[in-house]
Amino acid sequence: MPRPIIILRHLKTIDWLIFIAGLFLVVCLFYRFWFQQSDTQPSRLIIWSQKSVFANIVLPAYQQIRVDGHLGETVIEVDGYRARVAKDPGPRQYCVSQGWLTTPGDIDICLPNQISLYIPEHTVTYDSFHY
Amino acid sequence: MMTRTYIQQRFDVTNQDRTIAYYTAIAVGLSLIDLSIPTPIPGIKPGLANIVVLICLIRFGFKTACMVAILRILITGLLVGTLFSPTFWLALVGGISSLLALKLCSMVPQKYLGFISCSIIAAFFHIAAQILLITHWLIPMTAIYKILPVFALFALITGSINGIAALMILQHPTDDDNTSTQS
Repeated sequence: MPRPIIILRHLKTIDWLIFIAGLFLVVCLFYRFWFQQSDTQPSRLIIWSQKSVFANIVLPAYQQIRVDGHLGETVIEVDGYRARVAKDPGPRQYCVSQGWLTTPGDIDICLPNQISLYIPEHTVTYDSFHY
Repeated sequence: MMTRTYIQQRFDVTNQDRTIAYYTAIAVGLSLIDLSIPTPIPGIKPGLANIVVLICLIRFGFKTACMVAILRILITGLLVGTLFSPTFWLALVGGISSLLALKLCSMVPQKYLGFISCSIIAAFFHIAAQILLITHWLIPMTAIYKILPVFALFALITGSINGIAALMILQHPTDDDNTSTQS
């Protein structure tokens, strides 16, 4: 039988050092992915109204866009690299309460009014897991 | 003397085979316990079977640890019904990468690297490989990286706990550990 590679009686100083290094890595990852602005800033915003593209806006932009939909007027607010539906005639206001779209891949759909906002990703990808 | 089974008659079953079978059985059992533990976030598991892999690595060497780890993943996949599904590939990639990490760790002289350190490093390798597989194949979206810090935190915690558990078991060997070689 092969000889044991590592035999340890107690926790070594190096174990604690590795643990602290791991903790530091975790803190760095939290900082990087939770609290830091993403590298992949949105570059465009596409607004669909019923079956056609209503607007293709290059970001950053600062404007309020009024789109006529199936039920009435939807107000879209574009603020720099983010966008949201500020007002919608839909009964349940799901697309308004979704808030700001900030990351490529984000989608906001006002279903009754048939208007949607989409921040396209730089490369088109597919979610095979959910598919 | 027990009656020899068909496999024992047909093939030359060595003590190493018995050892692998024994530890794989324990690892599969622990995997099933793992699956039944509810966790707040999908994908986060204690990874109890890794304790067995660590013990095998110390007692019998890298080859046996590899066999146990890979067989454990295959058999658990068969039992749970996730064989060749995304869950299985995630487990396999994680398992292989952590074995790679353990191999690298075992190359470092003992005085420079502790046992718990190896376990923590292997846990990080495990999660890194899984995240790579997720972002490059399963869910190629940048939003996935948001969950990476949480995974890393749990990898650190479970890696440390599993390492300590394996160490404690290794320091207190019981008769049960030799059962497989007695038959």
